[in-house]
Amino acid sequence: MKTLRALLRNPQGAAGLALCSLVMLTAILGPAIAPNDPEAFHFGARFAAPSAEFPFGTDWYGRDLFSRILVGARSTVLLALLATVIGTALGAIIGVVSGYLGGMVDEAIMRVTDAVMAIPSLLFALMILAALGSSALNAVLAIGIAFTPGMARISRSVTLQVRSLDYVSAAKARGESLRWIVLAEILPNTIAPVIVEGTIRVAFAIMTLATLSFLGLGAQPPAPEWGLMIAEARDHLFRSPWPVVAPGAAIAIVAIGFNLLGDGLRDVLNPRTGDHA
Amino acid sequence: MTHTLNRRGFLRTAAATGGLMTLPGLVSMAQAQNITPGGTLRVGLNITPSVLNPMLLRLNSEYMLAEMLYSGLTTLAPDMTAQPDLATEWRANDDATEWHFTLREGVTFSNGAALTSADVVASFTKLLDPETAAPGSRNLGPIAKVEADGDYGVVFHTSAPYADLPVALTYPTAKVVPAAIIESDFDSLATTPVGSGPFRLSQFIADDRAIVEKNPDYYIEGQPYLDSVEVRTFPDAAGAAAAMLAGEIDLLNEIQPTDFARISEGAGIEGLRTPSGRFLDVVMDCTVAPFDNPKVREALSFCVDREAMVELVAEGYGTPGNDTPVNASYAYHADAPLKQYDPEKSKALLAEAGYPDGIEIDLIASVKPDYRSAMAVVLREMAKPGGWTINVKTMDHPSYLEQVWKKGNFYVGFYNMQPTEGTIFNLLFTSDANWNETRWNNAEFDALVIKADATTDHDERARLYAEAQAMMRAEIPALVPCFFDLLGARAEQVMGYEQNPRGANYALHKVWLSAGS
Repeated sequence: MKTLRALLRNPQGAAGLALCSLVMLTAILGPAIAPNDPEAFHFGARFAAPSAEFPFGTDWYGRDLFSRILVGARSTVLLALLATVIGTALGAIIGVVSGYLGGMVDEAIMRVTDAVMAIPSLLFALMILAALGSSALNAVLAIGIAFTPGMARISRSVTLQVRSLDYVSAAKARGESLRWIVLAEILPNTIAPVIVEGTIRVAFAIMTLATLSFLGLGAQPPAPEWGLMIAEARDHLFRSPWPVVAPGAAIAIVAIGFNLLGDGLRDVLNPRTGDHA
Repeated sequence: MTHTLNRRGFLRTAAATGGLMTLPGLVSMAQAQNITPGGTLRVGLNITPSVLNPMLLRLNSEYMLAEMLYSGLTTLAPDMTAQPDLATEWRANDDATEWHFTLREGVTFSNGAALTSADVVASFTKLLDPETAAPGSRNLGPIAKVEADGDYGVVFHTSAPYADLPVALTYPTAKVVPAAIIESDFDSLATTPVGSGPFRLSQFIADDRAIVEKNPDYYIEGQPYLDSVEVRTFPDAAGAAAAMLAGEIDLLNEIQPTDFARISEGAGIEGLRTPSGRFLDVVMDCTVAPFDNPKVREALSFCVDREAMVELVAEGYGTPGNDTPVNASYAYHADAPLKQYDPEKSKALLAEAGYPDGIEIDLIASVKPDYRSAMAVVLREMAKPGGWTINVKTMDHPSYLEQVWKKGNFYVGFYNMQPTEGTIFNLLFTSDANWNETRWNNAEFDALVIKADATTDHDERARLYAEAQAMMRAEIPALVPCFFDLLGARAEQVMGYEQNPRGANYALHKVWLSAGS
């Protein structure tokens, strides 16, 4: 509660929280409030400009862009969140274990993550998709795996500070198992920077997911996934800009929202700036 | 709505222009008096010609270049008939197994040598030699032997009756080169063309440009009209479109339907549009459930609103298809009422076939060209009320060619027009077709096609091909929902250019630039 209140006092945090709430609400309620079937063609209204009937206009088949954005929010945003959660969880555990164990194990794990991080995350995701085949879930997995090394790096650096603290030594002295020490003692105390990083990563995940769909490797047509919508609309750009503008703006708003939220959380959760930021 | 109105108005104008372009007689008669020779034509391509050896060509862009540098025995007119090129006349024996071609006299190659029957025999022998691996050799018909008959006569013997031989010989790789070069240094043709075509190569820079200059000794008096042609290569369709709009090129042969209206509206640009037999089809494997049941295939054929398909997938630049690959661009097209959209009938047929709850199936579409997946998406939507749940799966083109093409049981195919009914049937739909992707294997249909191949009488062939087309409409080995027009553009000063529906012939030696330019 204290964090939430502090977040609301922070202008970036408040704006980010508002935008993200709006996006999450859309993702949950989108299909229920969409006025039209996102796949239904309206032959008489191809390339329509925004109007009362079609608030964001229609695309080249006369499909309602507003409904497509609303319904597509779920696949786009929830899949991005899922990808981030996979990457964050995997990365946090690897990082904490590596940082806590130290020595040769740490060396080995960190050199491997270095090697993986040397490959740009989009390229890495492309490689994974080439191996797994293209589908929306594989794209999520690919992005999750591509995000893991970065998260491992961050959680390891925090672990290195925490591992020498007294309560960890106390747990060791009590003879607790590795699993207990990692999960119960260290992980909860490294969680703040990981959450901040994770929030910002959501924005990257959405853009990477959109990029993969744009390249034809994620969602399959006629799914109203935003990146795919832009890819398909590209051919028709000169006849009507709306099929590109609407999903493009949606992606921008979500990305900005999660970035602002991440910035806000960083300010709030940082003990040095603290409550009186 | 204003967009739509403008576009429709434009469509009418474009259609009118297209109509004029398909009446070559009228146009050339009206303009014959004021042909102005000279000048350079700049042609844009978005596929790089890389192979120069005329027998090894694969791409439309290479066909264009080779057509300017070389000649064949016959050439394909826009009405799909064979016209004289190096051969001035030809005749067959009664059962169409022996063909005699008379050669033009006084033709010289660009190396100065005179053309005789020995060159033609050597060229076709080389072309048909399996070791040459010429891409078009199977499309030339069942040629068994080629012989010289004096200096200016050539006889073709076929292993089976083949009435379409003069048309088959228009195939773009069937070019005549000097016998001496075939014997001594065939590979040199990859870099140094030696032909008898209307132009001669003066510069070739792969991936950038090729420049050809007028052949002063060309055997048709007065032609070519142009002094030179500059062929420019662009990395993609968007680049070529931008160059056309900027006036950097005078002629563009290949335009995406989505770009056509925009380019045609450009200042000083005329859109070119010709109906063609180029089509998209939905291939169904007739040996595997559910498509082994003809009722299921018939059910799907009721789920296509063919006119709407032309509008949505070809942007209106096409003609509706009736589940045969033959349309009005072919010589023996047999018209039938267009199949109507009736999803209720589809449901009833599915129930009869044992699928009362409908069918759910994956439809695979390559991403090249774009309209393959567009048609898959439109079919999905149209087939929904008919009891079909079609899940579209897109795939990059190399994976599609490797994993799905000729192997899958339900996918979107895309084929160019062929010069004759026989070629397209033997390419895709007979039991021993090169690409028998539907595995329809209908012996009756095969017999009709073989009989028509061997028949020289026009009316009898028309009857046989009409029966073959009716059989396809009834049994539906593949859905053919729409044909695509050839779309191109020319600058206003470019005269005498006519689109050939086959899409592989250009006849640039007949083009001239109007005096005002």
